[in-house]
Amino acid sequence: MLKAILYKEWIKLRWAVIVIAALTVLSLAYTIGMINYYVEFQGAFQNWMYVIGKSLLLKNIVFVKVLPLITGLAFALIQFVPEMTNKRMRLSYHLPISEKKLLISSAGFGYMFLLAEIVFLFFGLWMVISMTYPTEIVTKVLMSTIPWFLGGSAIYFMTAFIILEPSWIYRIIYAVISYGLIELNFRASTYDQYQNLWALILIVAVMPLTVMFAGHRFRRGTK
Amino acid sequence: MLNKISRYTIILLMVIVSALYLPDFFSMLFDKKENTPRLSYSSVIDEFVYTKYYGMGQIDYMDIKGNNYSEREYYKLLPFMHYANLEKWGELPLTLKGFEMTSKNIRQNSQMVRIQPKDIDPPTVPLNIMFEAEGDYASLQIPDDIFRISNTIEFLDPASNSVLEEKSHKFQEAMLAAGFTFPAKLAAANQTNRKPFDEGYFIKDATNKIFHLKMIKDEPVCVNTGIDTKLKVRQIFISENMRKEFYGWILTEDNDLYLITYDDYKLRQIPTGGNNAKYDYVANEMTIRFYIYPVDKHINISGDGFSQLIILNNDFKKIAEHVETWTPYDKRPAPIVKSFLFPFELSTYDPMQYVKLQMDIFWWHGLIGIAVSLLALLLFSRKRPWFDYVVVLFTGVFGLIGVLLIKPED
Repeated sequence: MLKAILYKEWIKLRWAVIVIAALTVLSLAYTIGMINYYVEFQGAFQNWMYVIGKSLLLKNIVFVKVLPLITGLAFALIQFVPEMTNKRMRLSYHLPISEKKLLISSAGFGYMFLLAEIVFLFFGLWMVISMTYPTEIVTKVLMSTIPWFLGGSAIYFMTAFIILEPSWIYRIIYAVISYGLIELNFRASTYDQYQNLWALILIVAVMPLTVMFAGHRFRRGTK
Repeated sequence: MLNKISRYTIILLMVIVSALYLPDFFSMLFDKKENTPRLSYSSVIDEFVYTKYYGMGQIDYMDIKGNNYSEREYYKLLPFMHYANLEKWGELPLTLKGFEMTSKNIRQNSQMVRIQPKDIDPPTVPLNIMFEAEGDYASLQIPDDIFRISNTIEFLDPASNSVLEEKSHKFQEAMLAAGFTFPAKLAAANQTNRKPFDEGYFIKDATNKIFHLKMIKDEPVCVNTGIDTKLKVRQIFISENMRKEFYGWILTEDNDLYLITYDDYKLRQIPTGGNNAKYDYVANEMTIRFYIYPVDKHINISGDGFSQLIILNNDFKKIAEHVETWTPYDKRPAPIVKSFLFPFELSTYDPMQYVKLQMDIFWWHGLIGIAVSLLALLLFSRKRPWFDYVVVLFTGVFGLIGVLLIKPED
């Protein structure tokens, strides 16, 4: 049964996965070009000084900030909006599998792809910036991206949760909370500024649990 | 069971978000700016003076005895701060306490030093640049390599992103010959070319010895400063100044400050507190400024609710001190009301320039808010799962919003 459900999710997600993977490759290639452009026109030394002193790289790699957000949002929408139109989810609830398992495996499967995208992005970025910059800068930049990835993960779970929630009032409340939780990951203005990252990781780690409540309310038909 | 856990997870997330935003909104709406005095010391009348801004361009110029001054009179009391204006008005005295008062003379004999919490250990990339200390040009020339110093010292060539072996080796040898033990724990310099000359780096080695490293005619010069290794050096600040009195200053873990003088790196401690220990300098929370004027030296320590000024004569003997206080943040009306309304506050603000999620608990003030929230829940919304009350007991109004909005499902 589980296999069939995962297959269904894959059918929904496959185009999005391919598009996002292509976008990632394009963005990485674009970044290589952009860094080379800056190095060429600013001069290598001056470029390093801007990167160190003015956090220039954070501006050059803005796609690493945005892509996980887009991916998280897109995956959640693609996976769960079709389920909720015309209350199709009701059909799934008749399957011989518990609703909790169903929701967790769907969301888990989607998140797996988001995580794969994040890992891809992380190592791709690592490769791209180590071509031009020394380890000190690379480490700092990679550390700066962790909150962004947490933001991407948060937007996936919270969007899934909002879509699965049957009542519009609740959806609005949840949207407000989601905004706060996601924004929390985008407060840095320079490299590696976050301390207590574990607290942010913990917050994202409990998010999958929320999906269950929405699913339960849907089953009960709460308005 | 899982549904219950799920519901409380949502409530927890709501608590986090409301604790992040609501107290902030509250302060934004109701907090009023405190008019804080700006304290100075007049060497003309040997008295502490201050200005106080009331907004709309209304400024009071006072001394601490209560005398009022006009703006021009006030400027005349502080000739070392306002010499440019006074000179333009032709009101700069010829001499003061035996010091010849000309703009140039004052400028050459004055210096200002400041440490703010954000300067101490900011999130920076640990890469440095080494200036040529005795170059051929009038201003400092920016080099074309960058160095890292930790387990060893390595110069990097940005164009090829590779190590410059020869130069690195030369510096390594010079440092080892001076008795340096890698890895370096701290490297401090004034990394700007907008300074009259370059004094290079002060570096703490693995055995807590402090070395002075600079580059003269492309050759490394490394000296053991002989600064006491028992000194718990937290950060070193370097500031090259034509006065050549000190290279910079050392901040210790115990919030002490020492100047590193040009007299064979001898340290000179400068006071960081007056008679009242309450106003002693704490590096993580306060700003300290050290003004050097031709006739005296002022140490200004300012924190939440006070500004302390200690005056030293040119032999570093204390001659006067004064503290001006105002209402500190947590005694102002809006923050007090805030602490009654909310049991705690989450914020990511950190004076040390980091983003750090932290909780500020309001203790017994907060208990009142919690009691009211519990009462409200009991009065207006009965028949709840018992855990709802536990949530409100610990999170007050944040939890109340959560449990009321997210109704239990069974």
